[in-house]
Amino acid sequence: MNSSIAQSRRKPVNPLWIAAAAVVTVAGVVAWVVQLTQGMSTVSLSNLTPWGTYIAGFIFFMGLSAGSLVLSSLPVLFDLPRFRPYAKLGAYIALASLIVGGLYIMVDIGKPDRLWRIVRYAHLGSPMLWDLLLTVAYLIVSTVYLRRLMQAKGDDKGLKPLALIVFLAGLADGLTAFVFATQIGREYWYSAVQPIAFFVAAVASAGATILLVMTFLKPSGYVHLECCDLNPISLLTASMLGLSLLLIVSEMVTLAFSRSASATELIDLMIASPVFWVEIVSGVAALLLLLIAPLRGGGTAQTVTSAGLALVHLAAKRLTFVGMGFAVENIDYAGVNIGSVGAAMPTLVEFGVALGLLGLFILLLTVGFNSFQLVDEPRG
Amino acid sequence: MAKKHYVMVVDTKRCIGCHTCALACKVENNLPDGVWWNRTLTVGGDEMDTPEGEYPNLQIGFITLACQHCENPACVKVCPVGATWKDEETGLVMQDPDKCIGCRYCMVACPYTGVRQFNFEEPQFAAAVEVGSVDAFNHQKHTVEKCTFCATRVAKGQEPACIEVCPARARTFGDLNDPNSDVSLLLSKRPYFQLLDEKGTEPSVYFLT
Repeated sequence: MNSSIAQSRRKPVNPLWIAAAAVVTVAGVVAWVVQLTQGMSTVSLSNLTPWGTYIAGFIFFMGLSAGSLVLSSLPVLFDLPRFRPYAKLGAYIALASLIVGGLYIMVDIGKPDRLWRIVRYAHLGSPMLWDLLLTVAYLIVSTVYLRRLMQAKGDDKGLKPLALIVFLAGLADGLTAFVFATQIGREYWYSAVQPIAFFVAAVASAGATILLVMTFLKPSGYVHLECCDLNPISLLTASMLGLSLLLIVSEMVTLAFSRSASATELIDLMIASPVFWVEIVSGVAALLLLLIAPLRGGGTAQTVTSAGLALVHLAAKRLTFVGMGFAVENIDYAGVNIGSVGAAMPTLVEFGVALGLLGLFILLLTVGFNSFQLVDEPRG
Repeated sequence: MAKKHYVMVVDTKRCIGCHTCALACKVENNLPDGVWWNRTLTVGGDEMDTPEGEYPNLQIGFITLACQHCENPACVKVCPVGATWKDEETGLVMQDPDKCIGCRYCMVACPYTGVRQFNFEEPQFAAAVEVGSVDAFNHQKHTVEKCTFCATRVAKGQEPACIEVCPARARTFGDLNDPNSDVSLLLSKRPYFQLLDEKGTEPSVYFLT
């Protein structure tokens, strides 16, 4: 192969993108230092809303990691040649999002210097421990799987047992949901539908991210996309988005039907929340665009718009999910002020930290694309 | 030693909503500014200490809200490092600020609104000197704290500070496992309710009606 072509295929991302992502990441680190030194009063949390943007970020990226693992394992496990190009890519996205997801917890914790205590004094009954163990499992599984995929030459057969483990690890994203769904004090979370809803959103976020990445990488020649190559992943993302929307309807109906005071208040607050409407409108729009994409040949603009809207839907979904957990007080008699109820606008520091981690995610991806060939040619 | 089950009984017919218990708690435990382990809530209007209804048909009542020292505590189940635990000998739900990693999962899990509080910054104190008990809780930035039923006083055979100061004698503290204790006798004679008992947490605070 001509070495200059090989060179151009190996560095598909303009260094300016990488530099921009690095700057955002560094800004995030600065914001985190401010948060640690000046205290968490610099973020929009309160005694009555103890979790917020960071936990939403954690759910999103843990989901992205799990969904990417599932998509990555499908072609190897079930011999699906049209998904084969995403095997390595999925494993790499899983690893990058796992690192970022873990860091969202790190920045949320008041005493990160005591994080080692989770290992030393592990209380295995805590759903947070289940999630930690899942995170460690993801880290090991995705690293080993990615390494094997990088080394694999042509034949996927030996990879199948590993792909099965990867697939099962991805399915276990429901464990993250148990952090929330087990909480009897939080009416909006306390539902057996959450593990399913988390999984569905996880696969949708992975599909949308892969669609965006593939479209972004196309002009450089790093990936070779024919007109309809993205159709299967578009349809898979669409079906998961459709299910995700259906589950929202299902939740709303079961809540509304009870007509209990707290359920009615929850529904009223959701309807009054702009983030909830962003979630609904972007979700429906993304679903429609993804469904008609195959019919119209799936142009670049359409793919970027639909995948972008899907990610907006999923991010808004996480913000709504966390916020609504604290929207209704179980005991709401008047007393001394100990903090505000419900999600508040993120502060500058909080926005900086959250954006910094998003920057790190983009940094990890772009550096990965420039260092490794992460997308294979379709096989079959 | 027989296991104890310390409970608190609050007579809502006696409580006059004077907030003395909340202030005594603040002093005894040297609580930082903005932190309230025990609060007097108004069962009435939308603002504290206001009645509901229209003159002359006004109604007002009070409940005091602090950690319920549940028999089935939601907070203990979720703490990833065991910084909050149930003391088997006394039934008290304890909190160790030296172990807390500040993840606030216990605040999320506890259904009793706002009884667990987080030091969002370095604790600041209204008084220039430390007040209250010599073995008062060690308040730390970015950790969670809450009512301990004045565990250090109880260990010395004293009652929690909020019990001692109540001018209406609305509060009673004691061992529910002792059938002759004041709390056992009160609960056998008077109707009572517990907060959010439908959540299954089995709180150790009883409100007489």
